[in-house]
Amino acid sequence: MNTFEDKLLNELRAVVAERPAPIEVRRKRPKRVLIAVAACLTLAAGTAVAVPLIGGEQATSSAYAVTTQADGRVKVQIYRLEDVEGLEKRIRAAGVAADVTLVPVGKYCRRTPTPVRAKFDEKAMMMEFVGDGVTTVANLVLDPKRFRGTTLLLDIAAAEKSKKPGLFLPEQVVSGSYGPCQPIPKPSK
Amino acid sequence: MSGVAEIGWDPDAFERFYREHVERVQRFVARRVEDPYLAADLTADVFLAAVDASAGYREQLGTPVGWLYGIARNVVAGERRRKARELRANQRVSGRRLLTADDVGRLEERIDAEASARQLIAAMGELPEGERAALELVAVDGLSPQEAAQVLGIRVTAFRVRLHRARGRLRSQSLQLVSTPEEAIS
Repeated sequence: MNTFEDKLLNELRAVVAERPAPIEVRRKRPKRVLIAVAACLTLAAGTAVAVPLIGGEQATSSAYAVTTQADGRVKVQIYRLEDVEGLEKRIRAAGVAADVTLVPVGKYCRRTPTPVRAKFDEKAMMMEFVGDGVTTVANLVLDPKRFRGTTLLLDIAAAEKSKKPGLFLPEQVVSGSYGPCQPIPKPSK
Repeated sequence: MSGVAEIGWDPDAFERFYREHVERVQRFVARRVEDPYLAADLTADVFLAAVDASAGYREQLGTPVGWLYGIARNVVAGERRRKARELRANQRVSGRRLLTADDVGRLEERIDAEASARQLIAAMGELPEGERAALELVAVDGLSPQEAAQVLGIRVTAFRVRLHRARGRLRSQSLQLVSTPEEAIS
C-alpha cells in the first residue's frame, strides 16, 4: 500500500483538494467560467490597485478590490485571504447579493440544508484565475442586473502551503435559504 | 455521467479516475521513455495536466480515455521538446521524488516489457508526424480509430485516411522489423 502509485495518488489528492482555480462543477450548467492564465492579465490585475478605473466607483483594500466599471458590471479582484466580511459587504454594496466565507485551511464547506442552484444568466459572472507562480489573483466580473433573486456563494479556501487565494465554488449561484457553513476536513489518506 | 469535470476539485472523484487509468497512463509513458525516473515524472505530469484540464472536458467530444491519451501525448511531446524542464521548475508534484528502489525496479520491468513497442515507434520515425501519430495510437497503444481520432482532434474519416497512408509508407519498413525479431528483443 505504499507503492509509487499510492504515494502519487496521495500527493495528487492533496493538489486536487487545494485547487485554487475556479472550477465549473455542474456539467448541466451553461459554461460561464473563464479560466485564463496569462501574463498580460497578471499585469493588468497588478496595476488595477494602483490605477483605479477613471469614472468608476471603487472600493479597495490591500486584500481585494471591488470596482464598478463603466458598463455597470462589478469587477472583484482578490489578492489575499483577509477581511472576507469586508469583501462581502463591498460586493453587496455594488449590487450583488454575496455570501463570502473563508474556509479554514484543509477543510471544505458543507451546508445543511444544501444550497439550491439557481437558474441564472450565464453572462452574470465571468471568472478569471490569474497566476504567475508567485502571486495569485482571482478576478470576478459580475453583472448585478443578472443576479436578481439569487445569491453568489463564495467559499474561499486558502491553499495549504501559501496565502494564495483558492476559490472553491461548488454552488456558485443559489436561490432560497441554506444552512451555515460547516467546515469539515477534506478527505485524505 | 463521465465524472471527469469533478476530478478537478473532488479528491474522491479524482481517486476513482486515477485508479481506473493509472496503469494505462504508465504503459503509455513506458512505451515512449526508457528512464524510470522520467516515467514517474511524466505520469505525475499527465494526471496534473488532466486535473487542470478537467473543466474543459466535453462528453460529447469523446471518451475520458481518448481525452486522457490526448493529454498524455501532449505531455510526452512537451518533454521531447524539452519544454517540460521549464514547467517542472514550478511542478507541484515530483514523480521521481516518490520512488523507492522497489518502485524503480517495477517501473524498469514495465519499461522493459514495452521495449518492442518503443522499437516500433522508433521505426515509425521516418513517417510524417500526423501519420506517425495515427499509426502509433492504433498499432502501439491499441486505441480504436474513433478514440485515436479524438486524441488527435480530427474526424474519424480523416483519421482513417492518415492511417491508410501511414501503413502504405511503412510497409517495407515493417517487413524489415518482422523479419528480424531477434534484433527487436536484444
